[in-house]
Amino acid sequence: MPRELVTIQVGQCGNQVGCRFWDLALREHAAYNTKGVYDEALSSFFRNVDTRVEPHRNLPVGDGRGAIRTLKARSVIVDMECGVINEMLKGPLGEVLDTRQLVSDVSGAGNNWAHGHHMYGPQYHDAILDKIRITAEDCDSLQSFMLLHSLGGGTGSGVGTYIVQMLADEFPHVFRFTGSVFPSEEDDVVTSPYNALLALGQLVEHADCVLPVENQALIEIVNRQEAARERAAGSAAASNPASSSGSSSKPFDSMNGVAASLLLHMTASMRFEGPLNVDLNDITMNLVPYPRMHFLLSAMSPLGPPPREKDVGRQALALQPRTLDQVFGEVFSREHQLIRADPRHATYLACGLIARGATATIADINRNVARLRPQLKMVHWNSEGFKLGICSTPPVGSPFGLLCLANNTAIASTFTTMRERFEKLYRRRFYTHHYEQYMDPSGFEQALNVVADLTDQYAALEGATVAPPVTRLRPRGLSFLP
Amino acid sequence: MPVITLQLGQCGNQLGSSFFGALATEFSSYDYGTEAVHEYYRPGEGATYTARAVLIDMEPKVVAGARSAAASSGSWWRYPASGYLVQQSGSGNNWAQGFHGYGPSVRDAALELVRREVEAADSLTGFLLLQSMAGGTGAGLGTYVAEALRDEYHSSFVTNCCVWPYESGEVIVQPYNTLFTLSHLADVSDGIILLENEALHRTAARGLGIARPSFGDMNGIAARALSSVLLPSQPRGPYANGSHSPAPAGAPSHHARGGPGSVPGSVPGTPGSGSGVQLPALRRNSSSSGNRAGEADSGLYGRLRQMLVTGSVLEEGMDWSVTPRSPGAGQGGGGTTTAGSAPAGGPPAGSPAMGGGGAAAVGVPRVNRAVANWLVLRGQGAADVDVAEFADPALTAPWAVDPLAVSQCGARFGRCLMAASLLSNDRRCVGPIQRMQEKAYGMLESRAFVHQYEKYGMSVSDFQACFARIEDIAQRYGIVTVPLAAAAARDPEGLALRPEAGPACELARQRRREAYSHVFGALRAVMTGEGAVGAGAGGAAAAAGGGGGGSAALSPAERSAFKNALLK
Repeated sequence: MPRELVTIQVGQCGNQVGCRFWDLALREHAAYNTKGVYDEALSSFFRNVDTRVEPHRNLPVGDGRGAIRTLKARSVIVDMECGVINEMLKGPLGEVLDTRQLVSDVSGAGNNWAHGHHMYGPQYHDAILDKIRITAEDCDSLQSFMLLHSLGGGTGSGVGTYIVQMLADEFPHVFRFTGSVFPSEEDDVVTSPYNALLALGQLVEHADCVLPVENQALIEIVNRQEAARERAAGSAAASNPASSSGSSSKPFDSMNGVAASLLLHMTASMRFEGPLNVDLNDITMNLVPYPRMHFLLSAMSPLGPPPREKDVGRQALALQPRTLDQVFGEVFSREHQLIRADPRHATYLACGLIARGATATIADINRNVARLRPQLKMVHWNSEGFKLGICSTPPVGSPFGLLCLANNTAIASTFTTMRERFEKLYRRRFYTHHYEQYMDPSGFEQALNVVADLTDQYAALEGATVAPPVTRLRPRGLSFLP
Repeated sequence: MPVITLQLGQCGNQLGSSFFGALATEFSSYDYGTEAVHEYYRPGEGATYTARAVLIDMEPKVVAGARSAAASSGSWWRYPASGYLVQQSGSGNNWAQGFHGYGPSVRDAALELVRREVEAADSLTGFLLLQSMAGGTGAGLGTYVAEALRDEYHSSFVTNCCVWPYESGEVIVQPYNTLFTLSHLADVSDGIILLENEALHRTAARGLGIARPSFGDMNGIAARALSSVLLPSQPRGPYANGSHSPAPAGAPSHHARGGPGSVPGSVPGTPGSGSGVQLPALRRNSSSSGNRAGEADSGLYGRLRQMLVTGSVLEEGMDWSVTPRSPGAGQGGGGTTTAGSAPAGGPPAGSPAMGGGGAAAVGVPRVNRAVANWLVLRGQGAADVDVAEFADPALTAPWAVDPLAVSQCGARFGRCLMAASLLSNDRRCVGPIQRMQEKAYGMLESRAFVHQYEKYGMSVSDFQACFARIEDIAQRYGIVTVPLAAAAARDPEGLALRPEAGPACELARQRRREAYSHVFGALRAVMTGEGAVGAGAGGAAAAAGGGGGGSAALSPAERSAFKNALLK
């Protein structure tokens, strides 16, 4: 009797992150589910399928002691070109990802948001909705959709935002989370400023909660990790010569791993037990003070899954955070944010801290919040605005972990940068004719206005740390007496 | 007389688990008699007993955890096999979702579970609801269930044991959730026992020396505190429980036994609260097992009394220099006045939140005053303890009638030779309530998070109505010291408080008594008139502050007449 999460991975980037996510999710559950039973924790993400009979039959969780047959991810896969997907299905995850949950085309959306959103969207509306509905019907109590996509391309941003809108219409009571990869400034797609802003406009309107992840930030994180690892490995090179060769091969893999870990941390408390649970709906409730301001900065420690020892050696593993207090310091630092922003120099509207670890107690969290609180600027109506959660199960390979989700005005500068890049092209109407094939030209202005409004909303709260006088309904106390 | 416990939400279920565990430990270590055991447990299969409990949560994990913990503990009790109600999605910390969303849809199922428990009991005292105030399920749905119980079981007691959140916050929207819970429960509950997380945390950290207290540790402390009050005890002497108040309906009159039903009876409400709103702070102190009885006798009660005097919930950090006759005592009302505009009103000094009395703002009352106290003594020699110190009128509001109830039990509590617990309906709760209110006003002013509540049909006017209700409650507790201010004004040298006899002192006492009767005459006039004291006083104050004010606002002339009547 679990609460399920259905993942919808759209486009190349979304599928790569998704792939990494399923890999890590399996790894995490394998580490804690030593008996090989299909329990409630596992059922949040996976179906247990009996493939011996035709048609395949879903096995219920029951008492949580049934054996695992074949795990199938609760996932819908959408891509308008089949390269990445085919590779994915051939790989080790082929068994977990079900081809029945696949929607694909061969030609791609050509890095054109309008092509994806206004062309492929309506064209595949029924097919996608059908797959989503099947996946949703397999759930006992569907709690959230999680959409994984990037904003820079055509499919992820165009079809992805089309799906968000579709979910809002078809499943109004199920939360819509998106893990959205924001393009970096030196993106190889020239139209990415258009795509990103048009997609952003849709996310402002239709998503419940957006977790932005910036490519550039991920690259910096991975580079820093790499450098640190090399330093550590360098000192141990004599004893472990294989250490440096194994790690530098796939930077994209590490980047996707960081993004995937974010999702694992965020859902940990709904999957595993803990003294202070945080459900996904708690997150929107506590961290979204106004309906459209639902963009959360995320920061974690440790960042990403720990490398396997055989890859990097014991020395490098020692770079993982050592104390719980250290972790708390890190999540507020610039280096651990998944977008390039410094939350400490901006104003917090709300902040959620989800600690993971068998030994983490409320006392630890409160102590650290009290310690760090003076360094943070909090908006005046939420001066103690921390949502706390504790999950007893730590991330694999680490004694504890911490996820910080913050609604912070620093996000405004990210939006401003996106607008500037958009306007640089739009001022001269570069490439707009590609978009106007599929959409009304006013769509540009509309998206621009939506994002500008939101930026202003955030900017207005920047520095609003001093409360204005509040008119109370009645003055307190019997103040008419001497 | 059976009591049915409802565990609501994550916090309520975890606390309930500890509570039944603590009760079971006590019942195992001392023979309280079958009847006492049957109050909280009913005979189950074989040698086991079944807790008279209903477990409700809107997500499954915690209830499942509580049930399996009870089943695997090896103890002699279990939770009822089918006495639980869970949903899948949680209430998302949204009071409105719990109250307006889940409430109506699970009402029938929840009442059915309760009815089954009621039918399994041959009689019924009432209900004990364990819940938190900050979240969605315990707070929102818990409030809904309390209202439903009040509807269905008119004559039974509904006692709520509520966990007050950390002030630094576990949940960002806790100011809203807490105030909604409080304002609704104030109307339906017979008594609200507040357990402050902050205080539990400090008790664990300083009292028990746990470096990093977990929720488990804190629940254990809360459970022991609750059971020390709710386990059987005999009323005694002139302070017999129930002798001064109408025996609670349904409660046994031949031997008023401690139980949730007797909480409201022992700790009557303030006169201003027609519905019997009570917010007793549970205060507990027990000597460690190593203490010799004699030492415990003098030390234990002294400490407990000082906790009452300073409004402290923990021995450590109390200001021992404060006595009931400290200067603040006479200026209590004045203190309320000066604190009127200070942020958060200033918590009662001496409460550890202020780091002892030293940090108290000038004019803030330094002495806590109670409307009523219930002292429970346990252990060796409990029958011989002299409780005169607690009967000191300076500890309680001057108008309180028979404010002290004492009950006792010869059985040792836990490993303590002697233990004493004090359940007190006093002013201390006002500080936390006002600080919470302060935050809620700030949030509402910016309309932050309001849309989440609007989704479930609430509107800004609901928020305002709730806040107004809370203002009323806080004001009613203000009355505890108002007459003192009036009396002190008539007796500036404090002659009446001096122990020596003499015509001057007698005269001063006489003048004080007159002041009291004037105050009560005036208050009564306002309260029995339309609008009750809250509206009248609030209106008057609003006029003074130049803001707001409803139709009940007094004109300046009426205000000064009222003031004169109070002070003449």
